[in-house]
Amino acid sequence: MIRWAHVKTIFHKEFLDTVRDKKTLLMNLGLPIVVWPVLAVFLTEFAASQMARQQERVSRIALVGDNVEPLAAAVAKQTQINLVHLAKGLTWDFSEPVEHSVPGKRGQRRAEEAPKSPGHRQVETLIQDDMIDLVIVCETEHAGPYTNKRLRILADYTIPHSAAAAGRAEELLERLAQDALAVRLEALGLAQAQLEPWGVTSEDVAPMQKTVATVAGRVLPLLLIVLIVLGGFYPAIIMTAGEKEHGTLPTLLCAPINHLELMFGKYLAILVQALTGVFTNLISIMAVVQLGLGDLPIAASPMIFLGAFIALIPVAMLYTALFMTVAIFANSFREAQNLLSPFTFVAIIPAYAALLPGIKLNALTALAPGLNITLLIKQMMVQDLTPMLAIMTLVSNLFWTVVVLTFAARLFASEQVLLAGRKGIADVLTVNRNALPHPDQRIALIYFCCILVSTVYLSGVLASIDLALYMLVAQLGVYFCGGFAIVRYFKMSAKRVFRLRAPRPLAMIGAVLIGCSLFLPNLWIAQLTPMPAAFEKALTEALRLTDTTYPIWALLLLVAFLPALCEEFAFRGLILSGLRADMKPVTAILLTAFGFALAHFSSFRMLPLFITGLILTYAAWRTGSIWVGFTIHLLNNGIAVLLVRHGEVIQETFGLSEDFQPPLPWILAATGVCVLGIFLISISGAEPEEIDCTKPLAYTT
Amino acid sequence: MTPGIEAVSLRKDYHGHQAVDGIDLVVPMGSIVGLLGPNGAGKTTTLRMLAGILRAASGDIRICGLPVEKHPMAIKRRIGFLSGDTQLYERLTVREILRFFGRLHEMERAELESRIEQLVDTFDMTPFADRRIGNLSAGQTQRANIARTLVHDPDVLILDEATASLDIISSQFIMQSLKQIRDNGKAILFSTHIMSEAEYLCDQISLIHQGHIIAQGTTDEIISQGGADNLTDAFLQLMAAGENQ
Repeated sequence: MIRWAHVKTIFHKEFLDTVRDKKTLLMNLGLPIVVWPVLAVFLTEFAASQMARQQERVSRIALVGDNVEPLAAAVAKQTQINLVHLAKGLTWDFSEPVEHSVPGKRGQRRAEEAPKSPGHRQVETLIQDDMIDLVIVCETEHAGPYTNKRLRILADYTIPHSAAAAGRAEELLERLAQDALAVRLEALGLAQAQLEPWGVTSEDVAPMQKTVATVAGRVLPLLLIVLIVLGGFYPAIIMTAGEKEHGTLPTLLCAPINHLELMFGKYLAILVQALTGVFTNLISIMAVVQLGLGDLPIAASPMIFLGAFIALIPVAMLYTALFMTVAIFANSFREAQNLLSPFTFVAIIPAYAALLPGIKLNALTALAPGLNITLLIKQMMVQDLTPMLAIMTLVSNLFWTVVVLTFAARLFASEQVLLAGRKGIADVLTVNRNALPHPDQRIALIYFCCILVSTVYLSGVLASIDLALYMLVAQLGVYFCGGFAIVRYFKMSAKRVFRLRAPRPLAMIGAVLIGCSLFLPNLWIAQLTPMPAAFEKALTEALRLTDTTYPIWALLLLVAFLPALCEEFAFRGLILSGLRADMKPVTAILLTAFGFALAHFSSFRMLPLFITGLILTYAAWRTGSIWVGFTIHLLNNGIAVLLVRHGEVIQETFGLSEDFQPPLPWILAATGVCVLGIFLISISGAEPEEIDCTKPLAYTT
Repeated sequence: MTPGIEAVSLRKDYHGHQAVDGIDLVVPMGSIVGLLGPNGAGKTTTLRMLAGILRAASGDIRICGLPVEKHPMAIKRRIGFLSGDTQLYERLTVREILRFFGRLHEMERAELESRIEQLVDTFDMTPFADRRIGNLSAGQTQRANIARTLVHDPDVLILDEATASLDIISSQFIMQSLKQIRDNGKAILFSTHIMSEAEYLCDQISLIHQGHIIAQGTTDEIISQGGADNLTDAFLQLMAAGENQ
């Protein structure tokens, strides 16, 4: 039971204590009030002065090549361009050197920058040494009775004054070219309009307000997320690790309060501090924009800032809960800073992802914390938001907040976390080899991280060289042998950890039913998050599914058999057993399935992979046998290989559409078969309690 | 009369190390019992378990007759706990701290304010009652901390090294105050490693070593058990005997 009067008392004390902390006060109130106006004034002044300096600066241009005299005469008349005469010893060779091939991966040439000519390199050096700003290379070519000029402007666009000189040169040369054209046309008795049957111009139909809102919508959400992180960072540390370091937490624990009252009192204080920081920042930015940059109407509108602030509250709730949960592990301010730093990236990266082109708030992204709020604010600013998506975003953030707070509540109830002293976090991470008769969640987590990291690197290095090599190293090496190495090192029973026992016949019938039918509902589920055609093609190529140099048996071995064996041993073996040692079956099954989906590194296939993972994990847990999941996995992958390799035959035989989308009755029938298979597995006879690896097996076969 | 503190077969281990191993302890109302022992003997763990901050692995604790496991909140309302680990918030004033803990003990506003003034007066804190803890001396801070343990008028006081790092005047002031509290009928469990304090203050003494109580009794009884002339020598003798066992 939570007594809210106690929560209020703790909140009041925490708030007072933190407000009196100069560092927090400076971060949340002082800096925003001072930094934004000062930054705006200085930046505006600096940008204006730089622009004025650039405009005042006279550009130094050199001319090289054929017949440069007429151009030199025109340049000499310009007030802001000086003609520079280069030393006569310089030679100008702009012919491109012969390309040399770079050894790379099989079937590929490494993309490298095109080699530069000696002339280009010479110009680069001259600009770098501040001798000139650019060079115009003049060449002539003959077209019938006419002699045409071909002019090349060589500038270093990374150097501002060289880029500015290029702008001036382009403008001048364009004008000269137009003049020369006019002279020729006049001689031929033609008007310029006669030579332009088509005129193409592009116009932006978006109102000014929308354009400004789009630009602001890209920057503002990211800025707000960063402000939330900054606003919640120090209060979270002060109220958790700071209390532990100063020895005030045991004092508080003497009082008749329970862990939930303690947690909520602190959480609300951290949340209010974070929101106060964001609010102060927003007010300061708004004031700066209103006073200094009044010509941006949308950005100055207080309603936009208010709307963004309100939209930010759910993500602030989530992030402050996360920060508090992480910081409570630490025993000192410094330790908490070290622990929290990676989580600030975790919090900010989704907001960066929202800047990527094409990412919009939809049913899927609305579930991703951080990303969803950033997208929500972005779309709110351009008034492209449906109430349902806004509600989904809110509910999603609240859900994740509840998840994090539930975990935090466990930590606040743990005397080991609150009072463990210096060894608290070390104990969580240390694995005692001799005291580990079976895997636990630490082993599962470490093994899973190894799988993730090795998959990333091996797929980058080996997959493009050879699929078979990649599969052997990643699947057999990391998944399979890695798991066995851990079991062997800790002297665990491989038979129990990997559930190596023969399944009941009924369970195998269920496995075959699921394995043969699961691909159909999965095809339908995959439609919910459709993969772009280019991605699908790349995936098919990466797996060599259409590569005829791989015979079908080799593909079935590499893409069906090996993953079925190795991934089952990894996920339904070591990881599930590790998680089951510390968690309830439902939690362990959900986490294993989620890990399985995550390890495939495909956001588009996440949902079908998660559902597949759920079925496989349930089957392994329910039957106590690795072979049930293996059979499902093998059949499912095998059918996928056959579908792609012999797609046309299957399409014709079964009357499927080109994208293999089966008719609805088929999907429903296949789902029914899957459900039947799951039912058979559930009644196949093995008792889950008997096969829990933390307890001795009741029977073995 | 029901004792203030009653502990039977108390046990606690940390990561395989037995910090407290079967301690029995009784603190009657209206008495001060001293808990003496070297560093790492298990004093702080025992006191934390008695105060309800740590859960005992096994054993039975009763405070004023109430079992700790069944009535954790009621127990905390009847205990005042102070140790080297129970520091005060540096950015709050003495009055704010007393008010904060009084509210957590669900005291009525008027009763709380009156109690705060009484404690400020008793512990001679008027000159610094509105100053932040971070600006006070060690002696002033400790007085505020003891006042914090008394704000809800508990029946039982558990004090761990209450006079550590204090000058002789502050120590004497606190010991006089504790005697007065004892005379008001409260039970006090007082842990210290200063023998003269134990001799001056405690009605009963328990010696703890390696998680066990190795001797119990009045000061004279402990001196007699140790076969020595004073409490310090008796303490050392009994520790050595405990090591040999």
